[in-house]
Amino acid sequence: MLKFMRNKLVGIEKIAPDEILVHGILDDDIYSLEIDLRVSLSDLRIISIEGRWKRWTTPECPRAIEPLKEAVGLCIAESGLYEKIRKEIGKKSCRHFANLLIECCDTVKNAKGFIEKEQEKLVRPQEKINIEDVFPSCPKEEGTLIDLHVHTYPASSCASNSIEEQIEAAKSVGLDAICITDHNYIWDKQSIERLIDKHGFLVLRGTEITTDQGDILVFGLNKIPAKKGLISAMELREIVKEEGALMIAAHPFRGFLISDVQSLGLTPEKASKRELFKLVDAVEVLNGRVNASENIFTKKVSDICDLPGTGGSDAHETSEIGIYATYFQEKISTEKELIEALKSKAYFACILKRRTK
Amino acid sequence: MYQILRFSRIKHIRVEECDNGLLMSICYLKDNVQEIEAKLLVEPPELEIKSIEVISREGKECWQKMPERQFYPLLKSRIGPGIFKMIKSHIRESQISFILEECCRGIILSFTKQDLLSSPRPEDDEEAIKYYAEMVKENVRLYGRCAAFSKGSRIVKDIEATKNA
Repeated sequence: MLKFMRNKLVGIEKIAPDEILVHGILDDDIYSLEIDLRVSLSDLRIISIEGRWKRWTTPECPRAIEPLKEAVGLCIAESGLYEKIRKEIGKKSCRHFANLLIECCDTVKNAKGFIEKEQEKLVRPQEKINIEDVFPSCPKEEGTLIDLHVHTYPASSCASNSIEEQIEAAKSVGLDAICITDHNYIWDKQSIERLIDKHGFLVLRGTEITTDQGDILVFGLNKIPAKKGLISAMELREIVKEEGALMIAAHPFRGFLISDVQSLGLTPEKASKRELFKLVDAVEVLNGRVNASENIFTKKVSDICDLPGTGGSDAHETSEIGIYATYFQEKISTEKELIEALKSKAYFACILKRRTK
Repeated sequence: MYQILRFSRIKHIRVEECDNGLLMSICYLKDNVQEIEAKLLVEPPELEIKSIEVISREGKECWQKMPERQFYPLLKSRIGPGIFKMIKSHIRESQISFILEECCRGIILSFTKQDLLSSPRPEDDEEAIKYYAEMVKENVRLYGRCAAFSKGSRIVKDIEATKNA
């Protein structure tokens, strides 16, 4: 049977190059109190202290707050400190505040070396990545510039604009065509043909299928594979093969590099070993919803795997259309020609600068 | 306000009554560099220490049990006056001695809690002052032990007056 419980929590923040803020909480069946301590990191001297009661026993317990100030100037590294705190702070203030103060000091002692070591890791120079040094701008030559990754509403519930609005946006930024790749949805051929006629702009069909190995862009399918639950990339490969279609790994490292992935030890060499890259025909190396370092990382992986790279905006609204695209050397005007061009590998991902025709 | 914690520590102390009537006091500490657990078995009513067990580890290391012989001098000691001094004099490692003190303090506080729960503590401020003033008078060793029971406090006003008379 539980007769008594006490919990203490100490957290340390670095608030200035040489200053830490120590926040201590003591909460038990009888008392509840807090301490905020500012400490100089270099000499471990207490700069300031503030105490707060949350729960106490006698009407005079609040008198314990004022004498806590006597801890200012104490050096946490000095020998006999805990005894000093017990005798001086404990008697003049309260032994429970003294107990929490000792806990805070003990934590600081342990933390000093740890924080300094961690700091050394944090200050390592960050490589400045410029995406334009890695990927080309779209060429001026005659070829076909296609945004291979576009979503529309309501086919993709996460998108904001209709297909007609996306087409008009694509025309205005100078693309030659867009591929509509709604999530697990394929537009019917007739609807697309009507839109092509109406807007005088090439619209191609694709889809973005969620698999056990992430999202995969598929081109050349006429219907979504019937499968209850999540389809595996391997199963999709089989279907794609039968239909003569193609699979492209969409944003395979999205979100992986937003934090310090180096500490995870993920290298392009390790990442290239993923099963996914044995199943796809290409890798989306430029995705508009992925940051520069993630796109560059993906490019390195695709190079190691010897897979061609595509570019697409992954636009969910008109303002995102065409930020990145894929440049095909051949003229493309039909879905069949797109599949052939993708199979020929005569294309590359590029950064689209707004262009006028 | 916008800072991320660089270091954190949690310490948990609990006292449980075992089926055989012994009291078990456990203190567990975990922070970014270490993890320690101490277990003290105490026999009421003398509150005699029957056994002490301490395990610890640093970082990714495996748990290490501290040699029991280190704690032999404390076995059969009573959790009562002088126990903290005894712990300090026998256990050189300050971290471990502090943790064992916490176990003992937990035992003491478990009885304080019982006392407080069973005593008719008044809610009214003035009545509470009288109640605690009586308590200090009956236990004079409490006088001067903390801010609430020291000079200037309403609780010890009468004791002060008697002393000055």
